[in-house]
Amino acid sequence: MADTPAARLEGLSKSFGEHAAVRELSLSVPRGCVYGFLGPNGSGKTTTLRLILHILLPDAGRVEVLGKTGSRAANDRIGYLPEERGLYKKMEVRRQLEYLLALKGIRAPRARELATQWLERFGLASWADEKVEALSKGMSQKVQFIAAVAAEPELVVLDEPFSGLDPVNQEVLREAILELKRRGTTVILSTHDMAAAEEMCDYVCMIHRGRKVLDGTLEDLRRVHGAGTVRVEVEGGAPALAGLPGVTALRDLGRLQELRVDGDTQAFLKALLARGAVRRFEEVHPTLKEIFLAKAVDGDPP
Amino acid sequence: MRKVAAIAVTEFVNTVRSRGFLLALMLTPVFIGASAVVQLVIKERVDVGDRRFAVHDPTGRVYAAVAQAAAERDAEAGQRGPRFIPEAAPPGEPSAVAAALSKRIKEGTLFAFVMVDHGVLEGRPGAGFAYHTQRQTYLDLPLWLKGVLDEAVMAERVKGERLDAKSFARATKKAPLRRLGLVEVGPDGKPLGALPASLAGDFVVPAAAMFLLFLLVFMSVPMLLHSVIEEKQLRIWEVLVASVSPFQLLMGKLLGNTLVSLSVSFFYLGGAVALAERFGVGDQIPPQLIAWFLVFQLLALLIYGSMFSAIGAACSELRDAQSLMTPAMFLLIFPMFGWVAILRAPDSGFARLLSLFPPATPMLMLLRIALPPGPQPWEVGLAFVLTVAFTWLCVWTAGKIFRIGILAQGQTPTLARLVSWVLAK
Repeated sequence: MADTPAARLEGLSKSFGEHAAVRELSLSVPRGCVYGFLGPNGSGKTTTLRLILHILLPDAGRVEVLGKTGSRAANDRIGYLPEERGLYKKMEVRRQLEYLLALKGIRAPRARELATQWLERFGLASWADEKVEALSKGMSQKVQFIAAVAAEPELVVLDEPFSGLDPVNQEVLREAILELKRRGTTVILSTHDMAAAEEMCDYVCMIHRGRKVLDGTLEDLRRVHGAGTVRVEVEGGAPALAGLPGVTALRDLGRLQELRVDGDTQAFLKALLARGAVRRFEEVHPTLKEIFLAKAVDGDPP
Repeated sequence: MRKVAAIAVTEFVNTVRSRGFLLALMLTPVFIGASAVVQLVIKERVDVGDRRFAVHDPTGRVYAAVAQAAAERDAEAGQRGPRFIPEAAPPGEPSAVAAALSKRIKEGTLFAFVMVDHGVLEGRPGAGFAYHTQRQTYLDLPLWLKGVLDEAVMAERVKGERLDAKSFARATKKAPLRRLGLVEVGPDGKPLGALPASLAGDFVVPAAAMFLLFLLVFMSVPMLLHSVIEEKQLRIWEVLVASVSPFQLLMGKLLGNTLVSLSVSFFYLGGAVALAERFGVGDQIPPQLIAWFLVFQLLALLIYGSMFSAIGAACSELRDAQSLMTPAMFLLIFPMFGWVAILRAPDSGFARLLSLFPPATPMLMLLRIALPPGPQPWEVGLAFVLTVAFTWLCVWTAGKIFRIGILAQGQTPTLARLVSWVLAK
């Protein structure tokens, strides 16, 4: 069972009326990784997550989660923090967690134990018997996160977990997510925060307008989408680079110039040295944001 | 099933721990009791103003009897409420007298007046009495006057016919009619006699049972609608449906609400039985009536609870639910339109038909069961089967609407859209 991916989507499509939210999406989430699910607002991320959790049913395609297909059978082994989240304001924190854990099939004594442990871990033990309405926004979000992970699920799906959190709480949450990974939990992290994804994710999948535009490890993406980009500083600046062989694009950054080179960059360096002094030469790895922006523009329908 | 139970228990605990529930539980019987007491107090303590009325009697032979009857009434022991104070209207042309007396009523010096027609003693066709007042809703005085005037006219006619008044009174004395039940036969084959008709058993218990059931359902099911809409507004629904199916969520909420309502009915029914025992009419509430009450309460809560839950799931805000609630509310109130007719003739075709109409069955079949001797067993059986089938249909339909509605945001769906949700795969 552990050989199967944590989640596998094949040819998944979902429309709401005339609007196609997800189009023929296929991806595979390896076990034990942090899998970034990236894309701008309205790109279909949340719909895809709801399809993974069987909250929505696909119009076409197949969903396999933790080795189970076409049912909610695996949902007890999945933790979910939705983007639109809330809690019962009039219910006490611990009782609320116990209730949500009971819905994951955990019996009352164990649920109480887990709720207490996680509240202590997040510094909320003294708030356990307070009603949720007494909590600050940050504390509420921590409780929601606890509700998603306290059942010790094999797969955790977090939809925009950092939104609305201050930097201190963002860091607490980031550390908690990485701790989940260290324990072997698979984390699907949906976000439009490319910097956070770049820091935390082993794999990323980018979708734009319901279609997958990128998928792979960060290294793979950089290698594939960033290969051939160099930054140079030469005598004479940008005019000195005119007519060099293999240059497909040139961006003048002032003192530096960024070139897109078709072919071997080392051969290009030799050609450059043959023209004159080269003060600086470096291969550039693009950021996720740069890769995404490039792909999103490329992926735009005509 | 464990998850459904967890939802049901949480719904139950959340509701019964709320201050609003405890207040409603305690205050509803207090309000009902207080309203009955206030009515009595108002009748006996507030309405104490004398009712002065005039009698225009061109015959000259009626007023004296009215005045004597009024004096006797006021002298009666235990007489409560206003005194009736008659006065003889001045003689004169009737229309002029009536106009003058009307003016006095407007001025507040008179409450009413009676015009005695010429020829009333002779039994002339059309001749009688005319009662004038601005307060037609006050019935005690005209009802009392009717009896007194009838007696006075009859006595005068007897005198006119030169009959012996005592013989006539004996000959025309009304015989009382006693209302009794059936005569039962004892084990020795001898008739045991019949019990007198009981207001409690024949009217109060059936009507109270039906209205209590209506009240319990009416109080409970809107709470479900509020709860579902609240979950949508608090945006907690997505966490819930990631753990349980929408149908499990619906069933859990329905069962929780049913538990709350059954607890309330144990409280109220227990109180009613205790009161009935205290006043010596405990035998008027048979155990099988209580059993049927609980069965029909359960079915009614599932029927209307599923309807209101589905409406809550389909709407994002309470005000959006109003238009969809109207037809459901009409079905709930519908039995109230027919209960009086059923009370008068519980075995009529109308009563049978109405009590077999599933949305109305819980209230109306319960009423028929409570009315002695009750419906035929096959009718109760058929009603039960039909209502269980209808309950299943309601819960199934609500489950389909709930599944899609709980995820829907924004504009309230039309009825046509709801139908399409039901028919969706």
